[in-house]
Amino acid sequence: MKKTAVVCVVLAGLLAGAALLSLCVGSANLSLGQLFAAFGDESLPAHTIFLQIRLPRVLLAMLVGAALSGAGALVQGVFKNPMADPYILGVSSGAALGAAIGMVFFESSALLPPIAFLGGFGAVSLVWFLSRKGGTVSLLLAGTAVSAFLSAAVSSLMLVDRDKLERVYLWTMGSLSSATWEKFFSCLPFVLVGLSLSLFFCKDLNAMLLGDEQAQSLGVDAPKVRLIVTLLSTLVAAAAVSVSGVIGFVGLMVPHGVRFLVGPSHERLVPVSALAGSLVLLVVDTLARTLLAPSEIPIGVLTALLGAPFFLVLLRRSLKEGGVA
Amino acid sequence: MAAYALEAEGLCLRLSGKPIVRGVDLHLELGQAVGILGPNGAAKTSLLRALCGLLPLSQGRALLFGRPIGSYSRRELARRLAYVPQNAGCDFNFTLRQLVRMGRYPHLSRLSAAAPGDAALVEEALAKTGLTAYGDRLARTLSGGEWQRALIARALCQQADCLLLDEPTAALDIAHQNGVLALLRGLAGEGRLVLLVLHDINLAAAYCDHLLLMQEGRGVAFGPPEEVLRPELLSQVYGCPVRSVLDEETGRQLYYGLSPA
Repeated sequence: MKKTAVVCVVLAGLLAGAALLSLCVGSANLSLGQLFAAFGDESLPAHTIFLQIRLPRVLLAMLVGAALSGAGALVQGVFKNPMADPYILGVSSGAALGAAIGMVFFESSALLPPIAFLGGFGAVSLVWFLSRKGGTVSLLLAGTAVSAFLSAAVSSLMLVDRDKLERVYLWTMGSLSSATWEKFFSCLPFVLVGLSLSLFFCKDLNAMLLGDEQAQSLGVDAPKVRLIVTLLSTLVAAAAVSVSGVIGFVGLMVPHGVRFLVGPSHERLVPVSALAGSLVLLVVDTLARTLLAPSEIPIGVLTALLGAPFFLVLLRRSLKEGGVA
Repeated sequence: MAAYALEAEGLCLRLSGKPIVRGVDLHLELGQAVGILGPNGAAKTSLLRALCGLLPLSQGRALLFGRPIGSYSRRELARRLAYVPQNAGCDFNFTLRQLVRMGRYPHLSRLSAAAPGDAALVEEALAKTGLTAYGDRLARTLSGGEWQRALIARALCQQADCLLLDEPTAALDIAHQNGVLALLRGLAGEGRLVLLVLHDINLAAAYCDHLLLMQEGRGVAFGPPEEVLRPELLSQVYGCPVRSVLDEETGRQLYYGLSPA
């Protein structure tokens, strides 16, 4: 318990520091003093950079990181499988297809989150159905196959509407470069509500890690909880995808690290993963927009560069142990 | 409260369409320690799981305190009835203490992590099962016998009136077998119902006050050990000659099987 508190305080401190740093760096570097001056004075050019460009981007990166990592912790619990995350289970590509359909056929961006949710939930249901009798490997195979199909569908859509091609293409690689207050506030309620409601099911998820039968004998209606938590985690992940595109592996890596720090109990794992995820994605996004400045690396490319090797190491270890990691 | 804690009336059960339990009647009271004996495939475990509400009945009734088991919510059921499965494992790094604390879940509200007194109950359960020194060990590093005792400790934390255990001594050495069964016998003495599947006839005779002998999904005898454990009946049920000898020092009848003729 004490350890968890220490971890939270350290993460919150790092997050505050990273946020300040991220607000300062960019195409126009600001000092902390300029930053605070710009906050109050509308006449300064830094005021617009700060309030209309950097602040929404920093907050959106934190929100998306929290959403993907919280959702990752939840799906790992639901699937009793530490190799699961919204990206690997096809939630992200399903949500991406939904959102791409939304971008091509509808003009309104308000429709994106619900369509993304439907796409994400459809994909995770299909993966679940295909792999329900098997272990880690069949889950990963089903997720990979479904993701590949859905990504191909997104690519086909881009050919249908060449005008929007570039926008959709950039978005399939994940990017926070078009962060706005509007995006932040369209995503925020889904993430807050989804993650808050999921806290009601943390003890149930702990028991379900022991298997459905034991969970049931501890008073947990396992099939019902699995459905509810899948819906909640899909809602959270799809909301993130609808504003940031496909950003993989964050939902896999962060809960892993956090489990190492605070143990497998979900009442700690889920909130601490959300906190750590917001820190990780903020740092990665800051790197994405500064490493090769003035051009930007799509953040999904960066998380995949870091995350895929991590995933392979985990997979190798878990296959060696003859089970899940 | 109804006179019986746990009842089965004409209980039948099918798995994948195949009849497994074919009509079992049982009327068990609080305070009893009841053993279920029978050869492999006699459907002892299936009967136990049906009585826990883990398998749906195809015919007949199962009642807990006079109410059909299916009419309880999972949570209500878990407060009245604790189940200890035979083999379990966990790939996640819970500590043994966290695992045992899960026995409190049916008593906690959705958002509360622990109620006052829970920690003391957990320590008491660890002490009773001889696991105090192992509390901080990771569950995945436990031996089969330690797991078994951890699950019993968790069931103790559930504070249910009925404890149903599937071969709780299967993974234990003789010292722990006797320790665990004496503990369960004591719980029955405090007024709970303990129903357990056992393979060892001698342990069943020593620690149970009633025995159900099963064969091919049916109960063939029910009563106190000395009535049920007749060598000629055991020989017929197990399909091998069963002999008994008297241990003069303890006054117990000991049973052993011979290779089938």
